[in-house]
Amino acid sequence: MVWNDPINLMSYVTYVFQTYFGYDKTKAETLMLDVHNKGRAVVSAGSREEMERDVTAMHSFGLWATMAKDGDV
Amino acid sequence: MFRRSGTEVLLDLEEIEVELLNSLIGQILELLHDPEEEEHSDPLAKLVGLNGPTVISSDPVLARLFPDAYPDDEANSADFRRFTQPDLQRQKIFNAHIVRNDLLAFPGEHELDPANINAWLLTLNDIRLALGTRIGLDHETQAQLSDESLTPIFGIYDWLSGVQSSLVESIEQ
Repeated sequence: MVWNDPINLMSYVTYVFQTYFGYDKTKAETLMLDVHNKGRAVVSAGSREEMERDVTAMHSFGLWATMAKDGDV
Repeated sequence: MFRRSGTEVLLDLEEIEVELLNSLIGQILELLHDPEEEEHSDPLAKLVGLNGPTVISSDPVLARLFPDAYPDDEANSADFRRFTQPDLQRQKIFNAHIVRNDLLAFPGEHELDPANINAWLLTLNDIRLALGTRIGLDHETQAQLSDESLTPIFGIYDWLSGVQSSLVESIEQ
């Protein structure tokens, strides 16, 4: 889950979603706009190990990311 | 600002901009100080990578750079932080050093080593996060950024946003 913040540039967030998750530009932009407009968006789902890896990566890019169990989202 | 020319990414900086970036990087490095140099750290814990902090920083900037991974779950957040924060911190320090070293070639317009572009992107973002958090930027103040009555620090933040934006544009597919 990535949360909206007023600092990260929209173009930067889109770029991160494209390069890290390998999403195409349309999907990356849709997710970025979801984060921007709804305050947060689920950008990735999987096992706890996979999610810890993704959250760590998002933190290294400076995105505000957290994880939660399915059902708690 | 950055621009793309063929396959090259070029950066053009004036002397005052180089000084400004150097000063901001110095501040980030001071804030991030190398976790290896922590006093009282347990060498065995360090060896197995368990030497990270367990609670979110009371400094808003560090709290923004290293947020809790599990909201409402202190124990899991603490474990995650202990395992991941020292590495993240070292990466950020490493990137900042790459940028500082590249800055030695400026002022003027120079090509950036493609291998260093990621370090530039992440370091510029870290600086913006630190500065934006420090000045308490929220969505409302952001809308007023072009307002000239705001303090110089907003001007610096605005300039950094432009620089980072030009970098993203230069490397986009």
